[in-house]
Amino acid sequence: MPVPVDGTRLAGASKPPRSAKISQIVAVPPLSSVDVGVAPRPKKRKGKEAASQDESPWSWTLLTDSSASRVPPVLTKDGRYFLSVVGSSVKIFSVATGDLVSTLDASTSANMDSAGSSTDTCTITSVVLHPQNPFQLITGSTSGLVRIWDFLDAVLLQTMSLKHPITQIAAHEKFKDCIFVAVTLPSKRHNSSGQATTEDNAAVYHISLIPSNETVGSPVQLPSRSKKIGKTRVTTGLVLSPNGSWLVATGGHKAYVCSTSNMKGGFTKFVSPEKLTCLAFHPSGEFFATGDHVGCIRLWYCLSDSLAKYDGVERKAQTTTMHWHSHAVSSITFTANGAYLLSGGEEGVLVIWQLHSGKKEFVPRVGAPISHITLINAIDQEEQYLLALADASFVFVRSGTLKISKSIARVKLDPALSYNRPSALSAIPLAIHTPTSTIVLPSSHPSSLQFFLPASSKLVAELEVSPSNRIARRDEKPLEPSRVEHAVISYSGEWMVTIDYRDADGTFHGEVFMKFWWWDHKSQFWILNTRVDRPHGLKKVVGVAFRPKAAAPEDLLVTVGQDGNIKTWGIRLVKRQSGEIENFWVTRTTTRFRVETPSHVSWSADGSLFIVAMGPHAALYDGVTTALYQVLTCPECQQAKAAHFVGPSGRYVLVLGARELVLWDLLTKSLRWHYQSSSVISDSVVHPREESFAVFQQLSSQATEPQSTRVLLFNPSSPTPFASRTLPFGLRRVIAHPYLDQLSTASSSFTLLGITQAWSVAVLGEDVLLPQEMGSVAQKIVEEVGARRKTLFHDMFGDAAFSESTARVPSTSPLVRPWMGHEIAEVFDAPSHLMPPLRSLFDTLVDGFLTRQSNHGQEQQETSTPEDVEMDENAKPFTVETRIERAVYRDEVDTFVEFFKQCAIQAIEPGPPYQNPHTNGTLIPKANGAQPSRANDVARSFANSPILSKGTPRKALAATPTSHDTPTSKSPSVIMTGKKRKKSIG
Amino acid sequence: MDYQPVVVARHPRPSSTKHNAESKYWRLFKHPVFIKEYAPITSVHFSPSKPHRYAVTAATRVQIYAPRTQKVTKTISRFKDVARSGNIRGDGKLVIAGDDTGLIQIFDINSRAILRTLDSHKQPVHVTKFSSLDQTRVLSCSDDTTVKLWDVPSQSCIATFTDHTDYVRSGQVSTSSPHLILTGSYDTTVRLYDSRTGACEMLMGGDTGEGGSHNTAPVEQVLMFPSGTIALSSAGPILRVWDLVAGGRCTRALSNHQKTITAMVFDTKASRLLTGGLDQMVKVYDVSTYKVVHTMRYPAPVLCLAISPDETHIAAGMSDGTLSVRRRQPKASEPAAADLNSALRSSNYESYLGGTIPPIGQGRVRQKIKSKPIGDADELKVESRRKKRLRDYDKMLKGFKYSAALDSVLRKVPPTTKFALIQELIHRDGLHSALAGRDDVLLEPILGLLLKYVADPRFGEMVCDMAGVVIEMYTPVLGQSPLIDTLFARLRKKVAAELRFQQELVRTKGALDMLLSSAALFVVA
Repeated sequence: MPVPVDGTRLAGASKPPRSAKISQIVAVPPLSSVDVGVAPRPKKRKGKEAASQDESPWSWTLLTDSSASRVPPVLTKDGRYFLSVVGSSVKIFSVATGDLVSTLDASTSANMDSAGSSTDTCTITSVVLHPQNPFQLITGSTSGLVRIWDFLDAVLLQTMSLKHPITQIAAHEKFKDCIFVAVTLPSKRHNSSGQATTEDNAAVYHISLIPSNETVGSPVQLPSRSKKIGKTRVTTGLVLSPNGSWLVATGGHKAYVCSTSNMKGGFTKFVSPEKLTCLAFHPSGEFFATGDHVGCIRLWYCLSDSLAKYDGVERKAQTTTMHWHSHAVSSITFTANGAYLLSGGEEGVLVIWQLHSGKKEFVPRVGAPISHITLINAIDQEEQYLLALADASFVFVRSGTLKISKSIARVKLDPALSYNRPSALSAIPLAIHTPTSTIVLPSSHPSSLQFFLPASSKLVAELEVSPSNRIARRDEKPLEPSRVEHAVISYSGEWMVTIDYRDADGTFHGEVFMKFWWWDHKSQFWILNTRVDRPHGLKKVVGVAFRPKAAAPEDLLVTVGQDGNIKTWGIRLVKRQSGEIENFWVTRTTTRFRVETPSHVSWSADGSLFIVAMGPHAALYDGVTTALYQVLTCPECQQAKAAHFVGPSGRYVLVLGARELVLWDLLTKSLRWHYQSSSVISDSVVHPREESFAVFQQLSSQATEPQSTRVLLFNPSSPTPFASRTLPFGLRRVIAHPYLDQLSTASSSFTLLGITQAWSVAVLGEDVLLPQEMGSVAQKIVEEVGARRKTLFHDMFGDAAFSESTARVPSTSPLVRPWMGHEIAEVFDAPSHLMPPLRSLFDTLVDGFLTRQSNHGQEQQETSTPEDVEMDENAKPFTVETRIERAVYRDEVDTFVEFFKQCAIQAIEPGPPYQNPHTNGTLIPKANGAQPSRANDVARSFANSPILSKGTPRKALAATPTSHDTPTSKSPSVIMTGKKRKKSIG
Repeated sequence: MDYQPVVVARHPRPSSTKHNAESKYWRLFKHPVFIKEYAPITSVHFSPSKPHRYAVTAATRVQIYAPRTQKVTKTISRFKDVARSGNIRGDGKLVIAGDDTGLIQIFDINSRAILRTLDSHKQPVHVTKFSSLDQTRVLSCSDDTTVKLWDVPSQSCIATFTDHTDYVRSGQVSTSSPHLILTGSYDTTVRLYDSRTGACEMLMGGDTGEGGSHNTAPVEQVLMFPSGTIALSSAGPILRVWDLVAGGRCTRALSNHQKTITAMVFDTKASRLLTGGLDQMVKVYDVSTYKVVHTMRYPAPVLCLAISPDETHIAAGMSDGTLSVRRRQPKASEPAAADLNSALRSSNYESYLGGTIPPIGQGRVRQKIKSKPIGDADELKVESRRKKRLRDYDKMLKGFKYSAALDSVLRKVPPTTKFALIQELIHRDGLHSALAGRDDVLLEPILGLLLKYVADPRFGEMVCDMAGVVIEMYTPVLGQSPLIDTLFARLRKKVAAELRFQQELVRTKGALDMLLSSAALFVVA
């Protein structure tokens, strides 16, 4: 029986997870763990770090996950959900819609680890379904913890510590309450530098899930029984044969085989010529397949009862080799019937091998390197293959057509391949498109951009700036893709300019393209308007800036490049013979300043001047004529990184050096103040409306340490920052978000948007409130209404009887309503006597703020026509066990009784009366997982869960496990009758 | 994710020497019409007046062709022997021709009636020409070494010049003075006669000439500028320019033909000179520099050449009896301007008064807009969506057959496509494998490609990168195939030439910079 571990999460939340780290870096006392503003969200994504005594809290929210899953996705038994591991959390996606349904976050309890490791090391490394109970999940993490979850209720049931980092878990229903775990061991050998080498020492244990007697009550339990099967290299795969008689592990160059009937005998080793990377066991035959890092797939026919004789001896075995992949095979899977083997790797091609003939079929161009392949075996559907790609997206391939039927893409910043990471020197595109309030972000492939809508946390679109075929490298040398380095959007939102750069690789010249994209309002997407080859020769473009809208109606762009040129670009109109006017971008002027190389360009708020930072100078130019007005030279900063106008009046100019800040007053043409920073200044952002700016300091730390950033806020009036904050991560790029800050409470506060060193998007600022994506927190899985299967009630009463129930769905409105756009606020900028009367504005305005009640499900129900189903009278009714996961209240029951009566009287019976002994809800509830369950059960209980959950708000986590503890609660489960539909009906 | 076909980038068109305005103009003379005659065509002459019919002399006949249809409109076959030098008078009404018996006949072009017969030459007459200024005079040059000037109405010889010592095969009455006659003879000399004195006033060329005027080859053709100050002569493959004002000094000698130059003609404004030779070429010279600006090839040795006064036709007669006529479609504004000019010059105001005032300046032609058929409002138009078929090279790229893809674009595709594919191969890190493992037959087109485009500003950089790879790859096997070795040598030569050119450019740029900056200083001061 699962044991409740109530205290785990609460205890975790009250302990400072990062205190040791922060204090070490910033030298501040451990922070008091006040989680003031984030109580509604138990996720740790939002944190507040008080860095020093005088520093006010500075909040940040991560909008996206940074990394792709390194663990194969796991499918639920009914094939309706799949679980994917991201870092320390398990995300549950719906197969039908691709939406994120729920998130199980383990990191909140990660600090239970006695070793004191930080949350970063607690990544989940393996996930398996509980062999006895398909609603339960076993995860293993690098911190050595085995956790058992109930993923339907999002409850952590049990935590068990194994003390060693876990790499693989295998389980089989033949071994009740037992799992096989591969762990890495600290090595006894030492390398030349005297440190322990951990990379090649591992072992496989046979672990009982029943806690030892001493630790039954404690939150982290120890296994009652733990038996070492044998030592291995670090495992890359661990499987049990489908009949449970063999345990196979791969590690290094060897495959380790052990008969489960004779576990004392330990492993028999079989040697492969190459390093093995993945492992799969044939579903019916007595053989398994491995993939290795040169691309060979081997079928091993070495499982025989005579193994034990050669105990401990390294052996060669009879194998069949299949070679197509030219790089490492990352995943192999047998189809359910065992006739085919699927394999995938860096090539991005799914290979389907027919085993008896060796023939191959291909699904090419899935989009990115394949990291994992999983089968989807829904009951009444065609078999599908789920490919987890290296860019964190998922692709469904139908087995019948071998075509990609669907793909689930989420925001993915993490480069799909490690060598695709841009070098630290190159810029990262980050911009905001105001008309649609989307954020332009880099994508996993460096040559594309993605558009992210923070209001709904949705990936809106992806734009390939330089289209290319995503082919794999030929040899070891990686292909050099073109990288988008700049993406700047004009203030009107009508134009976007991107600069993509392909590095020269020894033999061949590089390529630089500047592309102008036009926002098509009809299709709501960007259309390529002009391409400029080599805007600044082959040298990099270091600064791109559009002129602010205020100055003149036409758009104007300034670019500066490392070739020393400062170029302005304008639109040229050409009238075609057909009468339509085409516009495209051309160079207006080219100028340069002495021999200096510019490093940054920015416009004043009114668009009349632009300033170029170069060397020790900052040169002021007229916006229209490009006439040089003034050169501000500050010998203090030898290499100016950036120059900004401060505030809407543009009176002050901020010049940024490596460690210096210089503020000039343009009216008096004098230096106002000068600030010397102790650490390297990485970036600066000027407030779009106020006369203030933020400066980011990279706090020096070792390469191994997680970086942190200090933010200093300045006024032009004084060289001492009026506020100082710290952030526990490094930032690659920061921009000011002009509209998000209206979400925050303090009007004059900053709201910034940044990309962290770990490639996640963060919103920084004071009291940032952002709507969160559905399902990004741990929650019960409720059935989506539209996709619900028909129950007996539908057949009896028709769909119309259920439509009213959908109205009772509690609206899961986000914390903050999505901001509808800046336009609404601008309405009130006009003087009051010029405004239309308030009553004419009121409705439209308020409509803008109100979230519309989703009646999506209702519509769908109404469209589906009730159908008559003939029933098999001879069929024996069967009992279905249920799970009671919550208390049902009296009034709820009354509602249902009322409802049932009403329906029973009014509705016309579509078929002959149905014999059912349990119609009146006398079904005896059974404990969760107490009986062997069928695959159907999941679906059925899913099908009912929305009715169960209706009317009740999401329950607190602490309350939920208790219901598991007392499964035989007193509540009558009236509505469970719906489960008695038979298979023949559907 | 579908396969993305190779995107062929558009490049700005470079102004290559091959496609300058000059050659573009001469290339407009397209669609050569070949008319087969029975014997070598000895003379072609366009009528100076409209409709610019032209007289073609071959065998014993003189044929008058209509320029619009290229069909014979008149055939004059009143000669007993091979006819020579059919020439139409300035008003387009009379035709004169000589023959190998020494007989000269003048015909009415319409009735083909013999109007005059001039019979005093004893040897074949190769030149019979009307004087362009005095329409009643005729020049004839004969193999009996004499040159005669005739008065047509009286059918009498005005002057006879006997200074030449060999066949006189070319001659012309000056267009600036009706008294001056330029002749060239097989005695290697060019002489200028004056009919007023009746003597040779100027002797050019010959064995005694010094420097550039020294000539040992028989003079095939002479030509005089309309201004009458400069004369041209051809002897063998050498073209000589004589300054008549400076007393017949040879100012230039050019040799651009491989074989004897047999025909010389000016365009209407005498700004370009066309020469045809036995080497089957017609070359166009800019007379300000005497540089060849364009070359046209013909299928046989060119014997005679003529260009129509409106510069729409180039007719060339060849030794195999073929007459080639190249035509150019004149621009809409061109004939109007010419008409206007001619109308003004001839003080002929009728055309004005008649109300047919030609448009002055650039006219605009209204484009006809085809009205689209309007369908029923409720009609649903089903768009036919055809799947785009992949090109050959895309198919091969899709199958990762890099070498085959490269081979497929080495055939007849535009260079932009070729280099787009090469760029794609570079992106895929596939150029090395596409270039590797070729024998001399397969390597030759690649070297040809490199050679052709190494100086092209659009692709030069890529060609250099690619050439680096090729050289690195095939250096060990150099010297095994003479073909490849030659190509490599030519590539090297071309690169060296391009480098020199670039240096020249840099020098020019420096000079210009200096000029501009000094001008700026001047403005400031």
